[in-house]
Amino acid sequence: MKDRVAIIMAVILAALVAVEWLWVPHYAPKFPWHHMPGYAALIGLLACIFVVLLSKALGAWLLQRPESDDD
Amino acid sequence: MTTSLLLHPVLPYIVAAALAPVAGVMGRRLLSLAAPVVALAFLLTLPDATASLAAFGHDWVLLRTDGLARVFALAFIVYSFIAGIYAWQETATGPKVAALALCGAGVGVVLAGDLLSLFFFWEWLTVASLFTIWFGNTAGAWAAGFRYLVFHLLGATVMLMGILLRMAEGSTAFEVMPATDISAWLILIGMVTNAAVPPLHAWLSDAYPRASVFGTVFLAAFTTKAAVYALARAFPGVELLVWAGAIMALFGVVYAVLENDIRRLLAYHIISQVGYMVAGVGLGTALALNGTTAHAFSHIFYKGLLMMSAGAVIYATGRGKLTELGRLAGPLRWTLVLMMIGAFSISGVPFFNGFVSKSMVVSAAAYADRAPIELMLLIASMGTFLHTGLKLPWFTFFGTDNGARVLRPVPASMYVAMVLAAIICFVTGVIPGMTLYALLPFDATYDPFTGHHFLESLQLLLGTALGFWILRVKLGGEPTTTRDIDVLYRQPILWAVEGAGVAFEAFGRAVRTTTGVAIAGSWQRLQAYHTRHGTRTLAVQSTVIIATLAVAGYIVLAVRG
Repeated sequence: MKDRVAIIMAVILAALVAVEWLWVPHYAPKFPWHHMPGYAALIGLLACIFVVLLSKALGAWLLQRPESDDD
Repeated sequence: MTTSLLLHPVLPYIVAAALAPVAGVMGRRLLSLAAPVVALAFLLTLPDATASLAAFGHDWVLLRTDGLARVFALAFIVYSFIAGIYAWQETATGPKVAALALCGAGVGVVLAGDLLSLFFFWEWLTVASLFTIWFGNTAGAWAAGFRYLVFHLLGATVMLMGILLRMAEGSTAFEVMPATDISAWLILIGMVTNAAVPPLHAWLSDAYPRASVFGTVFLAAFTTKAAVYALARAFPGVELLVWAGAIMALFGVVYAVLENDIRRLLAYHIISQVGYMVAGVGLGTALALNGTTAHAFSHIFYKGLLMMSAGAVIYATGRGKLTELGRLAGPLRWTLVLMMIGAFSISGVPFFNGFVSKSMVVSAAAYADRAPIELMLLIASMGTFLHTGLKLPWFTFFGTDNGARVLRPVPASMYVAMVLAAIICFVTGVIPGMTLYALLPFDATYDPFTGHHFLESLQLLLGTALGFWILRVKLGGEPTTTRDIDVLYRQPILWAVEGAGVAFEAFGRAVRTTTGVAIAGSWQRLQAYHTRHGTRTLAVQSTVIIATLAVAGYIVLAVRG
């Protein structure tokens, strides 16, 4: 089944990147990513996936313990 | 310019706290609202000035009003009024007195004009916070309170050492101190302990969620932001703080992924958000310091709003874990709306206060050519929205029905408080120039309403939302708690102190003098007492507290001598 919510979000995201690329570039680019349209979208998406997977792995390996051990 | 101490904004809180035990329930409620109103009148009346009191051979500058102090004091006082409304249903005397003392101490810290006055209010803040935690009235709150006390006493002792060393050098000025000598570093360690900079942060996520729903709302506002103020006053431009702040901003994000307790999730995000402020202090430019100040102001209200709405869920359902919540959007729709205003604010959604304050610190990092710092802070922004804007509301109000039901309605007083905090988050986000920015003390201008800033924020938020949607199955709560970094030192400290105790006792027996027998006997009695009361670690904590107080006493006597 197609995930309509994900598709709608991806389309809006693409539109925002297009607007940035065509009409609203970074006003004072300082770092390499400032020259790349859609860098914020990429950071949001990729960092989200990375942080969730990393945290879950750390949790399973080291950080999580059963709730009954609390206190 | 000097002024009268009778206009000190702390005084109304002291008077209200003193009267609260003899007032009735309604009297205590009114006192908790009257104190901030009078304090605000005092603050607005005061010119930029100082007031001092000569006592114990020292000139205590208990009051200093200037631009920086004024913003923090204003935020604390207004927030204490809102929190007072939220806690209307709290009828007991103890929590009311503790909350008034906590608010007063927070205001005192930011108005203190010399290091000893700062330390006085700093410790008052610790004691008031401790009682606010203990009034959570559970075994967990009791134990976490002890751990809180141990941590803050150790931090305070280190800070006191630094202050007294500076005194010995002839200065107690609470001004910028270059971090070049040992006294400044000791004071800095004390301050970053209260700012919850990792690895000195575990007290926050441990203790705040264990207070009552009312207590947490007071705790969330004062200690860390008072510490941010102290850092901004004394240590702007210290490079270590730039990195500590950026790491801190990310640290809370990782832990929030794993957290099941809704208030602990928000507590980890206090650490993350204070990271922006600490990084801003470290950057030390006028824009960065204005960003730190503005973000502290915003944070007090949006984090307060988030803690209030989480508290409303707990109050209504009796549950506070994501695995036990879900599908509450219908019965608690207004709580959801208000929580989302707090979530939008903390996440930097356009037209909410985080959008106009957090971006000042991020931009300051860019203007200072700090590429890794800007990147780390942007990633932390993603994490903030992921947890407080998506995970928390999704699994609380939507997601799976885990049997949570509204057992009692959320009182009108809670709604009024949340609405007031939401109005402040929104108004300061829409017209920052006439509100928040007008209060900022440093000479730097910033325009958040540029086309690119809108696009950058919307892309970051929507990219995060897409990631959340794809991975939402993985983000649901699990019935676990999270080991924090404190496991690295809690157990070793336990072993070390118990080992020292055994050695102490053996020494006492071996020397067979009156003092030796007394030493051995006191250790045995301490152990026996705590074993009787069922918690072995309290013996260790008592030992650390007594040792800390002994060291502090020794330092005082040594310096006086």
